[in-house]
Order: sequence, then C-alpha cells, then structure tokens
Amino acid sequence: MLFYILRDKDGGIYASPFPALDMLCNGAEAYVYPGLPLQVLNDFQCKEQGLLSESEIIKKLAVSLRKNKCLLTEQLRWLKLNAFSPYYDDCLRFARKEELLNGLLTIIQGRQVTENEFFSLAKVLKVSVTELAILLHLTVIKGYGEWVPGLSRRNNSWQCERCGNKDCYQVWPSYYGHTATCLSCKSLGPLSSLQVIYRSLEGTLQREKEKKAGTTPSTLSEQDWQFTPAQCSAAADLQLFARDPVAKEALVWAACGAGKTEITFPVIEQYLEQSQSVLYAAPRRDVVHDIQPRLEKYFNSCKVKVMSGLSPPDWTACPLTVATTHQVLKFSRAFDLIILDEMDAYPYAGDQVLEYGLKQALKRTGKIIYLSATPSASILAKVGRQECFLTRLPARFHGYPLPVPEFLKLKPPKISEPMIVEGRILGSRSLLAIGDYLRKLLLDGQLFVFVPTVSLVNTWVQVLSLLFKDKKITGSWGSDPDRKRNVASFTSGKSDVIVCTSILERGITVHKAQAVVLYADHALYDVRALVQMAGRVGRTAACPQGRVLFIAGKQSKEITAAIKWIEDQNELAAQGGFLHGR
Amino acid sequence: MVGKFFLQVKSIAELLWYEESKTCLLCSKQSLTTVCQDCRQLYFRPEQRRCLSCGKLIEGEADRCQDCRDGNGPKFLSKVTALGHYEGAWKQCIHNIKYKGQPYLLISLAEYLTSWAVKQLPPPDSIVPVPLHANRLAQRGFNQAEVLASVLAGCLGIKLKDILCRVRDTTPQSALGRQERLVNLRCAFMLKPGTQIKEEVIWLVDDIVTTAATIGECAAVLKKAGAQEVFAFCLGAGRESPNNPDTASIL
Repeated sequence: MLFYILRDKDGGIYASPFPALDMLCNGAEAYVYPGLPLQVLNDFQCKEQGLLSESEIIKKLAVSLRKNKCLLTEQLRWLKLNAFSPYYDDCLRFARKEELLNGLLTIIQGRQVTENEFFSLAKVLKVSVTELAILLHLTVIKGYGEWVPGLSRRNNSWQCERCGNKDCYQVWPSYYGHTATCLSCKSLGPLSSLQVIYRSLEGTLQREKEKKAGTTPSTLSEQDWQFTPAQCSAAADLQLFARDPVAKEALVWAACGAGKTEITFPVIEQYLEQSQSVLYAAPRRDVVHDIQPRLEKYFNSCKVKVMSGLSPPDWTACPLTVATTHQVLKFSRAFDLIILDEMDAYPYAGDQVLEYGLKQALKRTGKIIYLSATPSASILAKVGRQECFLTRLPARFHGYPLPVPEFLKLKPPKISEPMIVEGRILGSRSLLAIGDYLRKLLLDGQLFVFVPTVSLVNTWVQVLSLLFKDKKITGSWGSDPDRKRNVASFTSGKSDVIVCTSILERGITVHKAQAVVLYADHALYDVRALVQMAGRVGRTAACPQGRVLFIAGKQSKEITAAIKWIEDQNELAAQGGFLHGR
Repeated sequence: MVGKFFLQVKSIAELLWYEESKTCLLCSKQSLTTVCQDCRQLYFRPEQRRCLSCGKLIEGEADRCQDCRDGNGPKFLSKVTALGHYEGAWKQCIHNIKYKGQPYLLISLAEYLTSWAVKQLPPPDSIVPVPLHANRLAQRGFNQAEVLASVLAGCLGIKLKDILCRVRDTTPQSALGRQERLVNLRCAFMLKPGTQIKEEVIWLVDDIVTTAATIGECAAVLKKAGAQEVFAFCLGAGRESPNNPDTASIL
C-alpha cells in the first residue's frame, strides 16, 4: 500500500494512502505524487517538514530517497486535490456509510490488521480490498486507529511493529532501497517494511456497555463452581487482586493437577459482567482447544472465540477470547484481563517476542494473571520484589498430597553405550535392577518412562519390550510422526508403558499411572521439568496416589530441589487444612 | 556485565556443541538440503516431461501438450521449461516470494534453479526478465522475475539484460480466463530504446507460466528485435489434466 505526502489547509504535512478522502474530511489541498511505502516516508519524517515550502519538501524527499538507494525514476511533484483525484468517487461514497463504518469499528477494536489480512476482513464486510482500505483510513482520520509500517527503522536496525522483534529479520534490496522482512512472526503471514499494519487505538471506541439479550454470562454462585476449599481460597485471592486498583500482575502457583484453570472463572465472570474483554492465552494449541469447551460450559450464554493456527480467521467481536500466544500478536491494547496458562511452557517461556505480544495486547489499565505449576525464577523474583501478587493452590482437588518422588541411586547404562546386541539385553546389573523396579510399578497400573534424549526413546522401548514381553510398550518424542497415535494408545490404556522425552511432561492425565525418570541427573532436566514429570501421577479422584521414581547415578541439586519443591507444596497444603484424603 | 559475558560464552558453546538444524523450505520437516527429497519429488518432478512450447508438465511420450499440438501455444519460443509443478507448498512458496515480501528466498533455491536451467536449456548470451508495469512495480516494490533472473545470471556468470518494458498496465493474468489472457497482453511489451540483441540466444525468465501468453508476447518482441533464439525458464507451471482424452489415451 502506497502513501502520499499531503498538505492540509493549515499547512500541516502528513502521509495518507487516500489523499482524496483527506480532502473530503480534512480539507487537504495537495499531495506529492508518486506514492511511497509508509516506512520510506517515516524515514523522511514528513511530519517534521511542515515548515518547509513545497519545493523544499520535494528536494529533501529526493535526497532521502537517494540516500536509501531508492530506484524511483518518476519525478516527484505536487498535485492539486480535486474531484478527479484517484479514488475520489469511492472515497465520497464511503465517507457517508456510517453503518458500515460502525460495523468495522466493532470488529477491529483492539486488533492490529496487516495488509495480508485485508482480504479476509474485506470478505466479512462484503467490500473490496480497496474499499476496506478506504474505510480503515476513514477510521484513522476519525482518530480510532493509526497506520504503521510493517517494520520500522530504528537507527541502524529494524523493528517489527507486529511482534516487536529487533534481531531476526532479513534485509533485501527493493525498488525503494533497503527493505526488511520479519522472520520472527512469519508463521502469522510474512510481513515486510513495504507493507502496513492498521492498529486500532486504545480507548477511542466505547465498547457497547449495554449487553445484548442473551450475551450476559450466567451468574453462578460459589457452590455452582464446585470448588475445593483450596480452590475457594485461591479464587477469592484472585478476586481481591482484580479489585485492587494498583496491582497489575498476579501469579497463581498451583500444584500439578490442582485445577488452576477453574479458579480464574469467577474473575473472568466479574470482568464479563462489567462488559470488559478477557483473553485466555496458552502457549500450546491443544490447551487452547481443551479450554474452550470448558469456558463455554461455564459461561453458557457467552460466545467464546478461539484463535489458534488451526482455526480459520474469525473477525467476530467477542468479550471472551481463547488464543495461543502466537495469535495474541494480532491484538493491540485489546484486553482488560489476560490469563496466561502454562507461562513456563514452550514456546512462550524465554520468547521475548511472545512476551512483547502479550504486553501489547493488554490495555494500559489491564491486569494479567499468570498460571503455573512450576514458575520461573524471574517471576518469583518479581513476587519477591512485590511487583507481582502471589496466590498458592498447593492441593489437588481430591485432597490427597502430591506423590513425593523417590530417588533411586542406580546408574542406568551410559547413553552412548549399546544396551542391546543381536536382540539380547547386555547383562548390566543396574539395567536388570531398574527392570525389577519397573515391574513392581507396573503391578499398580500404567507407566510413564521419561528419558532425556530422542535417541534413548527407541533404545528403551526395545529394552523394555524384551524385559516385559507380556506388556505393550510404546514410545514417542516431539517430532515423532506417529505422536498422536502413540500417545492416544497410552492414554486410552492400550499400551502399558510409554517411553517419552519431556513432551508428555504436561497436559496429560492418565487414570492410574506411575512415573519413572531415567537419567534424572541429566543436564537437560531442571527442577521444573522434574516437578512436571512427577505431576503426571495421582491426578484422578479414583486414583489419587502413585509412585514417582527418579533414577540416576547421583542425586543432583535439581533432583533434591524438585523433591523439596513438592514436599513444600504438600506442607503448605497441610497447613492450609486442604489435605483430607490422607 | 558478568551475566552478559556468560550469555556470550553460552552462545559460543552452543555454536560449537550443536549442529545447526535445517528445515525444508516447503514442508518445514528437518532436512539437510533447502528442499527435502520428498518435496523435490512431489513438486519438482525431475523425471516428468515438460511441454516444449508452454512448459506445462505432461504425461506420456509426447513433446507438447494437447493445446500446443492444436496450435494454441506461443510461436516465438524455442523451448520453455518450468522448475516445478505450480501446486501445494511450491505454489505457496512462489506466493511468499511474489506477494509476501520474501524475494530473498530465491537465493536459497539457487542450486535447484541453476542446475535445472542448465540441464534443460542451451547456454544463452543474456538473461532477460519479464518486466512489471511501473504501477505494479511501485505497489509491490520489486519484480520477482528480475530477482530470479539476477540469481541465475549471478550464479552462472551470464549477462542480465533488463531490456523489456511493459507499456500497458494490464489486468493481472491470474484474474482472467484462457482466451482473455491471450488477448490481454497484446502490444503490452516494448524493447527499451538503444537495446542491441541481434543474433543473441536469450533466456527469458518469469515466475509462473500458465497459458504462456506473457512469455509468448515478450519472445515476439525479442525475436522482432533480432534475437536468434528465445528460451524461457520459470519457477512453476501447470500440469496437463490427466482427464485430457488425448493424454488419457497415451497413458
């Protein structure tokens, strides 16, 4: 999309994609032809050139283009705006379509829309892409939004305006000189500095305060939530946080399988009742698709919008949105409350772009609630500095304590050593001893066997298949092409043992399972990974207990810390009087 | 300060420790090459014949597709070849190059482009890209055919000659049907003044070929200016429908 330098009747200079519309709305009088990408005009800093004469602006612009190695051959010149200017008729037609404009404003509030998305949005409004662009520019003129280039130049580097990334971009020479494409958020559709983003401005459009009939979320009493005492206490804390005018961030530090998602529902309800917008975000797609029906069940009369890489573009305006952290990059100052589930999980953890996206999607007055079973050191430090409110949910809903892992000092065979030769297990004493322990655990149900590397998965599947000939052993890892089938075979009870890497350390509940972590002292296993793996055991009310074994040659600091972490959680639960199962 | 130092040490250690993992440009699966073996087989189809006149992928033993045998193909081109079948992930990749500001992807495809072109076409004196009209060039910011031509010219050490210009801003070919496409481009191209191509063998380069109307028009201009032979190379072409009764009989 090309922009033109404009001069309005007061002598002010700015850039517009449809000068004719500016003439109709603002009385603009002349524009510089030909058009240029917005980023090129931003580099020229056209707003600051207001005091110059028209010929001086042309001269300065030509110098700026040459400096940027622009290949433009057409002569820059001022043209008068009149009824024969480009798109005049379309602009005239759309400048009066208030109803269409209001419909568009409702849809795009809190969104940032890239040029690549114009086509799908235009289809929703039943207008052409050019007509949509005219309408969007009309909202800009009225102060509801702004145009920003896809990437902006900051000194000698580039920054993506969608994801905030400053490091990962490709620079290439275009007709307009140096141009950049962001590589960080290209999964949402590649974006270059030649393109533009429409960004809605915060607080310019009052969301409809009157809730339409049928959209009021049903009010549920505390009993309806069916909370345990521990959940009640944490939910009450969150409601206090929501009412606090100063607090901005809260962390819910919950035990694995404690029902942390549900405790946010009363707060969500509180926000929805005040017609405020809420986002439930999670790094993983399966969590998003899992939470949507639960939210729809609780807020049965409120439509819940889902946004993930799997869902088609949805432009309906909803008070409650569930999205992956990648999709959050499509919003700008949109939400009053954001709940981020599994904040320590890949790909969110450590990804500055996704963190930027979350902050960008939150209104300046908004609040954010992080949910985690294994919070990172940085968020705990924030809690320590009292910058983040903390609430604990130390007990599982069934009232039994978390199974405390047992450390077993047994050195599994070295990762580099072969364990099977010609279909026979090499007679390592420790290997056979591990086999004995696993056999005992298998008497109590299914078994998770965690190994640190992908190459070990198949080896241990073979070893265990030879050791337990009557059991069905399966294996899976992150890029396993049959991952879905193999995991389903375990969760449905068709397999007795699953050997896996950390892919199954979260988000999976198996009715009656025990867990073993082999090579538990491996450098890849940190405290949080060990706690999550231990958290796979005892998750259901029918089978609230189980055993977790950490098997390694030596007890690493991480193992000790993980055991202590779980013991502390149990102690806290006991102190709170939340343990009644044992 | 100390933290920053350790982060740098960590990143250097990672560089030494871990092999950089590469993924296929088309399917994103792990691959040692830019395009994995499966995708090369699925989209580039090196064993499949191309219609000599329009570059379409064809089945059977015939040299030309049914349309070209019926006399509907371009007249001034000695041979047209397309690197791959314009569908699925390859189509998406060409779209990313053309419409989504990623022309640099062509550089990573250079080895496939050059090896296919060299295998299929005789050595040229110069490479000529199909031009964009000034208005479309201004909107898009680059001419994908020119980028493709510059990659080929740079890798093979052949002269790149940007000698054609589009004098009419025509409706995009993708928005038209076959008959309209053939008419749409009449008199749309011209040779830039002062250009010398007498007795030259030329590779004409474009991104996609469907009816070959665009490259046909350009070839006519080049031939008229004295070019000895004009060959065409493009990234993607369609495939003759297996339902074509004639092809079906060959199968």
